[in-house]
Amino acid sequence: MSMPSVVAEHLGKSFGETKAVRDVSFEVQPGEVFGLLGPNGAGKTTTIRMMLDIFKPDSGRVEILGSSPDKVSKDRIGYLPEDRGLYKDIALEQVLLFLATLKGLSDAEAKNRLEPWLERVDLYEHRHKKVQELSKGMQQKAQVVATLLHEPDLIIVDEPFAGLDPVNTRLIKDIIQEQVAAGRSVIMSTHQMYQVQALCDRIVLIDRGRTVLYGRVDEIRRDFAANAVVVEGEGDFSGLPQVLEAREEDGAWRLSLEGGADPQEVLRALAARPGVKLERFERAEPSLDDIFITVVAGVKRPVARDGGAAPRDDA
Amino acid sequence: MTMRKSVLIARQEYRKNVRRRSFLLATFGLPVLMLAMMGVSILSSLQSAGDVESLGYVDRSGVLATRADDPGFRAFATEEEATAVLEAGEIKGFYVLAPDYDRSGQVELVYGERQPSAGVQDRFDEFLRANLVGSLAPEVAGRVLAGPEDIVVRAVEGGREERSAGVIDLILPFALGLFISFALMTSANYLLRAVTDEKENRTIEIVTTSVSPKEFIAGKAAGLVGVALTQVILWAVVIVAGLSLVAAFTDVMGGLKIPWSLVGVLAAFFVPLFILAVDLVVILGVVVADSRQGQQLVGALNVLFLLPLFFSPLLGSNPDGPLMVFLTLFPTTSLLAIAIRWGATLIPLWQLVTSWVILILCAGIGFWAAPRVFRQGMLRYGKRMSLRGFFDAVRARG
Repeated sequence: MSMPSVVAEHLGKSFGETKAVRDVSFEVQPGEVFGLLGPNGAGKTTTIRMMLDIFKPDSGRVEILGSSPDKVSKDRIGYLPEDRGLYKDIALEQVLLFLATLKGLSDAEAKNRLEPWLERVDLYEHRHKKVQELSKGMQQKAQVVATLLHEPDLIIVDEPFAGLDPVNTRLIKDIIQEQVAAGRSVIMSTHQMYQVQALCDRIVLIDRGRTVLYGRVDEIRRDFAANAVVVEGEGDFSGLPQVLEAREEDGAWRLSLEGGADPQEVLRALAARPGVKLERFERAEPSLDDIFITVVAGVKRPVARDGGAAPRDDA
Repeated sequence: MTMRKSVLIARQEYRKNVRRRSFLLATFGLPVLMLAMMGVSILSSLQSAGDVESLGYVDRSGVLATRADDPGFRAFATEEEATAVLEAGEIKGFYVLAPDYDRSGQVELVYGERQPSAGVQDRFDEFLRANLVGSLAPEVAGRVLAGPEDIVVRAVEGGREERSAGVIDLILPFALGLFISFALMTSANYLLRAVTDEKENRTIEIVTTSVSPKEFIAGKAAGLVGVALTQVILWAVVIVAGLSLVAAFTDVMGGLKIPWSLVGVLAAFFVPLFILAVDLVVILGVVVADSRQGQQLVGALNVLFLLPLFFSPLLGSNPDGPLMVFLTLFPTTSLLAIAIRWGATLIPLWQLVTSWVILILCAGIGFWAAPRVFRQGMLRYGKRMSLRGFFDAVRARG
């Protein structure tokens, strides 16, 4: 297994009396999209800033690309903050060239790389405009270019789809997937759970400064799956063996199973029943949205995975 | 800390600022204004010179009989003759020296519609004084006219002595101190705006993922010193060129000597004072919530550095009083206080050394604290940093 791009171990950070991060641990591997999730004020941004060496952790350890953050070259990291940070009264091209040279590119190299990027995100025609003259979506795309122009090994994006229409959202998703395919690590922080579900391999969920959920997205969804199956089709779905209750929801049937029931047995029983025509049969897995709400609202205790999770502490 | 990134930030900051409309207006507007004022001064001087022929005198005392250094005033034998020429419009006025002038000093000025200019009257005074000392040996007469210009001032404690050469030596250090302080405050004001702008634009979060706080501060400060120097050097060139022009037409600049010892002292103070100013400005820029609050505090910051200016009237009565000594020792006011006092008194060596040591210590503390406060406070968008937060930031891990 290759060396992790990020190792965060029991990170803690306080500002005066406020404990922004209490105990956060996770690892990010090369070539994966990793979701850094949590409600507002959970400590995500502070965690990111510790990774970026903007803040030093009060406790714990963080390792970036095999070194401590102050020793790793900042040129190997690309960061897209939630708040757009571009000089508003300067031409777009100048801002992007300046930021690229700060990341170690020469003037000529930055210029050569910039042109195809601007063409790709449809900003080439606007390169001489001041940033403040661009729309929010254009500024967001410009920020993405600023993040990637120097070809970083670790990419941290905070709400990368903010202000984008569906076409541009698709464009940025494609770009993220290309970066991952090239072996780079992407840490994505967002509240758009369907994007996390679509893009991320693994996630960490932080709440009140602590890791409360950590692992592969598919495994977490399975762990949180209710003991039920969802069925669509024609026929009678009531009175099946090992099924406690059959309830119709949004045009589909939700069959609640007895403890220890085998869904395959239920499927076989359905297939054998005359007059039943099946169009869909699947385990009732919750969406990440549901899991997020469940965990954060404390409706259900989370299952910690991969040894990186910590139980939620409401104290 | 890598120099390359600081240089890039300095270059960017310099380019951004010198293209601002306010910069162009201030940089080129002031010299134009200065040149206009100098032009008026030269014109007035030329006019005064021309006026000499339009002014006459009637010497009933015989003081002007030798007509030493006569610049060309018209001499009349009687008042009637002078009055006739005045009424004919050939002259604008004439002086009448009383018969007992050497005892009474009484001089009467008769003029037509308009009084002759102050400049031409001054020239008549000079002409009169030159004749009054005409009987003395030329070198003695020269010293009498020039006044005391080569007094050696020696401190009681020993160790330092200075030569004083009159009013110009009092004004020159003052002007030099003001000039340096102004350049310094201009840079500081630019820097404050730059830091608060970065905070408001949220660009700081991007930039600091590429550079360290020290690289960022060093780059910003260097770029803005470049901006301030561009401005003041341009102004200095205009001033020197203008004064050279004025000197060519008048003798205002006579007896000017560059106080090199003061230049050396100010140079030694400038670097640590600049570092201290940068530290204070960075802290101020980070602590305030936005640029509006920052601009409100700029005035207070300027006062902190320019305070000796407000007490300069005390110089004549008590240049070595406790207040002036305090201002000399206080780090932010030291340079200007020294410059202001330089021409008026002999500043004891212990005060210079103590002041410099205090300044170096303060600049060092600031250089250590500013990046820490910057690191903690720069991302507090739209929020002020409390006093407690400030001390927490200073104590936090670098």
